[in-house]
Amino acid sequence: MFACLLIDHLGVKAEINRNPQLAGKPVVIARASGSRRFVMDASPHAAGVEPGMPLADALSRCKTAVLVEPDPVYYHSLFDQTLLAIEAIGADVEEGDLGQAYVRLTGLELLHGGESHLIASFLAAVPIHLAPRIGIGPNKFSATVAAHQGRAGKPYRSPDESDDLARFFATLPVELLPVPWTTIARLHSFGLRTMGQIASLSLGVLQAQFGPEGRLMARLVRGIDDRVLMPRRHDEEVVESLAFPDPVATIGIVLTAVENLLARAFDHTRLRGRSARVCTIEGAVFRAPAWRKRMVFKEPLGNRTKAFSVIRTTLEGAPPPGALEELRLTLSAITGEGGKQESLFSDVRRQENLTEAIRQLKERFGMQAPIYHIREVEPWSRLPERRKALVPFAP
Amino acid sequence: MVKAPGAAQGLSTLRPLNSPEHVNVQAKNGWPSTLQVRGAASREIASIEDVWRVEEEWWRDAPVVRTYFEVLLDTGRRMAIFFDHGKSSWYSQRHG
Repeated sequence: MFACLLIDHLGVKAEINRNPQLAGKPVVIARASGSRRFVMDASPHAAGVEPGMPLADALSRCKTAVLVEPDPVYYHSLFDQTLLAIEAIGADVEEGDLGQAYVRLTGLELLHGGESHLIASFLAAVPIHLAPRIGIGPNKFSATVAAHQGRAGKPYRSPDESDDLARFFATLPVELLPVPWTTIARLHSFGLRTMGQIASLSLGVLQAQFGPEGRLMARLVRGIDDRVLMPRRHDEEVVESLAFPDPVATIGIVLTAVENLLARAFDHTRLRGRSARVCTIEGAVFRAPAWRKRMVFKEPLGNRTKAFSVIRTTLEGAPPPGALEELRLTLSAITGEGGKQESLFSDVRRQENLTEAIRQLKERFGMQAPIYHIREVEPWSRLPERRKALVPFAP
Repeated sequence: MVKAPGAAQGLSTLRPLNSPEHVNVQAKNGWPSTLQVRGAASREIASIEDVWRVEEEWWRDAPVVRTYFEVLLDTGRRMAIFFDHGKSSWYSQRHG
C-alpha cells in the first residue's frame, strides 16, 4: 500500500507562513525567465491566475495581486523538513516534484497500531499550515490520483482492485498521468482527454504512437503500476553555519566567514582524513530571497586551503546578490579516500583520469555523462553496422 | 500520416556504429552512375572498383540482401555504397 503526499501551492503556503499578513490576499509568486517574468505559483484568491502564465497576463486578470519574489531555497528546505518528519515515523519516502512525495505504508501498520493510526501519524508529521492532501492506493499512480481527488487533511482512498481502479480513473483527465506535458498535448490533439478514452485503446496502438510512454499510460489507466518506490538517499554531509550581527555586503567579510566555516567543517571528525567533492553555500539575504551557490570541485579536496582557493575564485566572480544575514556551508559527496596513490602504469592512470572526469560530470550535471566506448558486438557479422556498437562507459 | 514514435535513445542503449545512410543513386542497368549524398551536390561515379553481394538471415520473412559497390567518385573520393534489394533503396556505409 502506498500513500501520496500532495502539497499544492507550496510556495504560496510557505510565504504566508513566513509572512502571515499575506493570508487571504491574492498572492502571486513570479519568476524570471530571461527578460520575461512568469507566474510560478498563485494563491486561490488570485482569480484567473495560473502557474506558467506570463506575469503581464496575470496582472491584467488580477489587478490587486500581491507580487512576491520566489525563494526556492526556502520552499525546498521546508519540504525537506516535512519529508524528514515523515521518515522519522519509519516510512520510506520517495521525493517527487516540489510538494509531492510517495510513502510506502506496507509493513508500518503494526508499528503504529493499525492503518488509521499510521495515517494519523503521517498527517501529524506534516505542518498543518501546508494543508496536505493525502491519497492512499495499492500503487503509486492510484495514490497520486486519490490525492488529487481528496481534500486537505482528509485522506482519500482509491479502490484496491485493478478493475475497480480502471473504473475509478475512467472519467478523470489525462493530465494526471505522469508523462511530460508534450505527451499530454499530443493526447489532446488526438481528442483523448480522459483516462477512460486511453483505456479503450489497445496497448499496441499506444506503444506504436508514444513508445515506452504509451506502454506506461496503457498500464496505468488499467490500474497496473509496477513502478517501485525509490526511497530518498541520505548522503553524508558536514554543515556549518554562522549568523552576522548586521547584514554584510562586503565580499571580503563574506570570504573571511567562508574561510572560518571551512576550517570548522574540515575540523569535523566526519571529515578527518577524508575529502569532499561538493560545497554548497547558502545565505539568508537581507530583504531578498535566499541565495545558494553549489560548487563541484575538480577532484575531492581534503584540506581547507585548496577548497577555499576554489570557493574564493567562484565567489569573486559571482558574489551574493545582496547583504547577507546568515551563511551556511555544506560539504557533501564525501569520499572515503585516505590518501592518493598515483599509478605506475600510464594506461591505468589514463583510466583513472577518465573515471574521475566522469564522476565529476555526473556530480555537476546530476546525470550519467554521455560518454561511450566502442565494443565489438558481432565482429563476425557480414553486416558492418552489427560488428561494433557504442556502449555507455561505466567507470 | 502518423509519425513514428522515435523514442529518444537513452544512455542505457547500445548505439550501432556504421549505420547505413540513405543516398540518392542513379543507376544504369543496375550499375550506379551518379551519387548524391544528403546535403551535397550530385557526383559522377568515375569507376566501380569492386562488387560483392551479402545475403543474411534468409530464414526470416525479410532477409537482408545487399549488393555492395566500392566506387571511386569524380572527386577522387572512394566510397562503399549498396543496393538493398528488400527496400529497393541505395545506402552508403563506411567500412563496408
